Amino acid sequence: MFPSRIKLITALLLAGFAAGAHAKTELLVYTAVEADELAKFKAAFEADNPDIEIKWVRDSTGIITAKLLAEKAAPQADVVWGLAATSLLALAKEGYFQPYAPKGLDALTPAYRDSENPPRWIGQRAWIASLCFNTAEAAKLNLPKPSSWADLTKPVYKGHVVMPNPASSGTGFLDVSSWLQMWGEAKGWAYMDALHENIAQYTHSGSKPCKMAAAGETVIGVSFAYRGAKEKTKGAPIEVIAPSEGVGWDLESFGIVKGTSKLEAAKALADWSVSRKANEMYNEEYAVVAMPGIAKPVPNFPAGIIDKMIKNDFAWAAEHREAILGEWSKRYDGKSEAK
Amino acid sequence: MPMSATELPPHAPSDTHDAPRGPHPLRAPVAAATPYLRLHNLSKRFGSSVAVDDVSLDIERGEFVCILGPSGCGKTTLLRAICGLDPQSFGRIEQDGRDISQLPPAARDFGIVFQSYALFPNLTVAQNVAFGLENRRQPRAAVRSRVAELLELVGLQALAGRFPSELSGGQQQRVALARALALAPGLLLLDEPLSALDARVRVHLRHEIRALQRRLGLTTLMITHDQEEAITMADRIVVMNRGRIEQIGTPEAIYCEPATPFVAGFVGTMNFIDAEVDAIGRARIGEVALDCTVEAFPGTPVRLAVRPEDVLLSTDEDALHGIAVEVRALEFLGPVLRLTLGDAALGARVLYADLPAAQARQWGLSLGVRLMATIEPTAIRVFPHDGAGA
Amino acid sequence: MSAVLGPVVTRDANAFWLRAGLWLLLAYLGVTLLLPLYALLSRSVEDAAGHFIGLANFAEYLSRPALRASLGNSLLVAGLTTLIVTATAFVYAYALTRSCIPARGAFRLVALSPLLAPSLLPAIALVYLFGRQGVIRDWLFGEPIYGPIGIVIGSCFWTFPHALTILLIALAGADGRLYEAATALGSSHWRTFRTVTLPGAKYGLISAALVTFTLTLTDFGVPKVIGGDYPVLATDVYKQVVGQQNFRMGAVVAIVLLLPALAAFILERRIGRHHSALSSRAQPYLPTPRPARDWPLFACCSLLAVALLGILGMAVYASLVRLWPYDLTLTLANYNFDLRDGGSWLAYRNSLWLATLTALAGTTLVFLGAWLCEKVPALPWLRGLIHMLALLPMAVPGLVLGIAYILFFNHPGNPLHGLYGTLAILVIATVAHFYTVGHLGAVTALRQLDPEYEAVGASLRTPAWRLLGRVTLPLCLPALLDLAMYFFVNALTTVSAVVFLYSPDTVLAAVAILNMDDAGDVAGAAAMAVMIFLTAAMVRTLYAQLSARLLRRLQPWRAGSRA
Repeated sequence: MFPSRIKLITALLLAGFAAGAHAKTELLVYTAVEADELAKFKAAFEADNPDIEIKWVRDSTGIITAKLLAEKAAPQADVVWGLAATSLLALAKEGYFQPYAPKGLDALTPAYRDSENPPRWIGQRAWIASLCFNTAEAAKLNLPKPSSWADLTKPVYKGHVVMPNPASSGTGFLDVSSWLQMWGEAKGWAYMDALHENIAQYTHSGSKPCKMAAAGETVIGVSFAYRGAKEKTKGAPIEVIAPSEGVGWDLESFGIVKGTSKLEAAKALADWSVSRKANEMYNEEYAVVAMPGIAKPVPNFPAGIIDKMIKNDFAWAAEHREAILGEWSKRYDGKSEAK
Repeated sequence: MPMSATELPPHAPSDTHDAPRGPHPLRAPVAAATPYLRLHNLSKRFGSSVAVDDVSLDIERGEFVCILGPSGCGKTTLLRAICGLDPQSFGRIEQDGRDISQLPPAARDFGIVFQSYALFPNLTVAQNVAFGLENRRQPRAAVRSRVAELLELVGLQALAGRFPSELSGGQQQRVALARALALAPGLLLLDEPLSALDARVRVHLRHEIRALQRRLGLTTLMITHDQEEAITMADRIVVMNRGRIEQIGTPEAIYCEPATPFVAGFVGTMNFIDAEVDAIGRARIGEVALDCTVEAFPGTPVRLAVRPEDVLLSTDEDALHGIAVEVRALEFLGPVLRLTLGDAALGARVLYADLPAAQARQWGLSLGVRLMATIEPTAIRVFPHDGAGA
Repeated sequence: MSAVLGPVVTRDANAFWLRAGLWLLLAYLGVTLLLPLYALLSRSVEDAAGHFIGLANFAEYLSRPALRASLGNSLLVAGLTTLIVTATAFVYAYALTRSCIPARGAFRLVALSPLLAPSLLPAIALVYLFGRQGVIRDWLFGEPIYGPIGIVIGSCFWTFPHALTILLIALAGADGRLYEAATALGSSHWRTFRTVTLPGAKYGLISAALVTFTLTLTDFGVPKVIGGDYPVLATDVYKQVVGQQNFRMGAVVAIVLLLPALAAFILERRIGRHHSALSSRAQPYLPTPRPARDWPLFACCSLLAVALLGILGMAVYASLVRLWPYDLTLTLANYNFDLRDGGSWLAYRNSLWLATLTALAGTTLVFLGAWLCEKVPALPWLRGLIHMLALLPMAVPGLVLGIAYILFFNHPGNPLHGLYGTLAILVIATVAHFYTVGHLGAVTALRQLDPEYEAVGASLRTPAWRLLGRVTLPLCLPALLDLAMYFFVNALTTVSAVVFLYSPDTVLAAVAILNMDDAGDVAGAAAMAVMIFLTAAMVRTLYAQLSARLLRRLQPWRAGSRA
């Protein structure tokens, strides 16, 4: 399709663009970590590793996962960082990652990483499902405060619940996954059918339902604890609720992409990511981190949420991810926001 | 019926060899031997339509030739073929003994003035004139002096710094002329150069252009649809119609001896009268017979062509050899009156006649007045009926 | 006498370069337009493994009810918007050209201002106006703004000036003699309107309707932000490609989207051909005051202008509020994009770069291309072909072009693969996306020049490039500046093509609006939309001032021509 002469001309053209490149190693990192935290991590890592520069590609969990799968033949990323463990597990099965044991790996909770040795992926911290409940709007509408997942299917909440689309949002998926794990297939889907009746909108991102609740655009946003705490701290009239039946969660995790030309820099990021310093940073916003014993309570996190975390079977979730999403799309796609 | 120009006596304007004014001669005069510009069987097709059809024409060195014809007759196409802007489909063009048929415009040797002048509005008069010179890598001083010389030639030295939009139409025309002459071309092409001007300016510029052309001895080809312009300016006129040459000749020949009814009708005003040859070689118009020289079998339908000024009028109703007519309409044209004359004997035909206004006043001419019209046999051109080009 | 048989060919060195230029232009348009579109077409008839499977993908598309529904939704929304915009824009244009209402200049300015904003801006403003916490949410009688209502209102806002521009031109070219004749014949105002005004503006109306329809159908910004769970074709494309990385189905939807746009385009061209030019003897129509007509029109225009300003003003206000609707204190915090989820000042800077580079590269390329097409007396078939290619982008929605670019440039076997993810590809895509209007503008400017300049240049044995530099370019300078401005503003506001092509380094302001909105940071999105609007407005104003001054300084002859 492309004769060699065109290649030559192109090469010459590209030489011009490339001339601007500098000596620092540029590490292309795909991530689903909330954007407001990325700058902080980049600055901290680059301060410790002045020769390396992180380039983030950030999007929602589903998008990043789809992107990684689409690029399987010629991966662009050097490192996947801060993506749901369910996704990393599925990718690892495809042989996406370069196994590597970072220095200090032993200090981490063993349950929070790949069981193989050296591990293909390593968990960093857990993010946990929560409800964002706008008390001001609820008062106006005379709506009671929900305390369980089951409450959300009550007719009073019709049109007042927004939740993320599990196909694009990792938060959405961990909700669906947790319901199915807690209650089994039949009961789980029946619950979602009932919930669907009350849903005003399925959003693209996991934090949007909470932001909508914070802005009064909805009363209840199915989201995750970090976002809820953050919005509450900003002054939004919301309460962050951990439903009583138990809450789904997933691990933000990282892995080094196999075949990367910047393996040394990728290893440096891996080493840094399991360090105590990194774990302390994770803890600034998240209550559960991979390194045991350092977690301190996070302001505005719902009380007792850690006890409500379900026993999460990542392997099961990863294995059934595609089937679950297919079923979900078939049932509820109509109310989904674009993307 | 196209004629070859070579059949005519060679024409050499008397003042061709006048040296131009100024220290630098604009063009060295060369004695004419072979024609300067020769068109051989030139044709131009646009798709299936033929714009120029097998045109051959020779132009002598120093000659001023007008191509005259109605719009759409192919004269502009012919000009653009000579420039190389729209190359001919077939045929050959020779300039000064060189075959230029396939040369691009920039490799040919001509200067051109368009109807629109196509002056560059963002350049001053001097810059416009210098445009072609600056390209020659000549020293600035040489360009400047050449520009001054050209502007002097057209009488615009004082306006060198003006922009075209600040000039009158006639002045713009002269700038265009000076620009066209800048590279001392061997051939000057004028594409309807005067038609955008006021009548008065037009008449004045005709003389100026003609004088300049004579002074420089410059071979010039002008395109026009204005017969008066062609007649007053040209050494020879080429009348074109439907892509073909109808006639080539001096203005006098074209006017007085039109070769075809088309030429007769296109140049000047002409009475066309359908007639029939009678037994003694006269032309019979209804019940009237006219003496003229026609050699044809009796009963042959012919078409007579008579200039309105050749219809002689008298108030003497009893005059012999005349046609009794009645004034049906009067048209005041300034120095002359154009009369529309008719009579029962002529049937539906009318005759146009020009009468000096003074004479008309003297006669106290008005509608319905009866006059006697006579036409000299020599003033009548006889064409076959439905002849070519009619 | 030997006649040369066969057509005559002209040759020279100068012509060689001009021909080379034409071939290069063809190659460029081929690579940036035809090949990507070919890649898109071929992907739509292949299976996941790359085997040809005919129209099976389209059959699959039609078998999915959700996707099929979007086609109907798209047509409905675009149809409604077209009706509303054509009618209101006609009234507005009529008032501006055929009446004596006061403040016509201000009305025009207000109506054209949406051109300076991305289509995302009205959608965001609508959230604040009609959302659950919207200031005038009651006006919708409890209907949600998220859905068709929002899409239609938002689309009306940003397509209005496009329709208005066409109708202003259609109505400005009125022959005053016809009106004098109608008045002399004792025709009533209403009858004159029906028999003279409406037929005269017929083609303008049809053209405005078709343009509005195509713009709405292919726009992605408004439905993305305010469409809620109401799927349309444009968001489906996005969902397939970005959300599910399903390029095959994305290509199919893109082609489904391309077809109506293409049809509207062809229809518009055909109608335009029948559009009779005004006779050169026409007298301009000068309206005389008539209160019975002027005051109702003034009221209509005021209403529309207030609506447009209201939407614009709401976006500005929302961007300044600390925490809508609970804390209405004013703050600039929302403009601190680096702390926002999905936005950054880098995006804004990138957009400025993109706009500047697009203006430079686009103007140069488009103008030279138009010049080669118009003024080079060689290879007429090639020039015709290039002209046709230049018209093609008008028929290709930005989203479609964007996907075509991914498929073509991101193909590992493509030697231009390296362009993917750079600012260069964004410039190339934006230039291609807006090529047609630029090309037509440049062609119009060139056709206004005396066609004999080239002949004079040749007779003076001047190379074509010298005539170009010395005469053609200076004469076309105002058109050139307009062209640059057009590219600049559009590169700043466009989102459809580039949303597929940006990389983390080259994220753009308009894309940042989308991302911030996606993340629920609507105030940040509003702030970025306002930044784009203000930048475009400022550059536009500066341009108007500077270009007038520049032309006076550099081109004194223009003053002479006015005298």
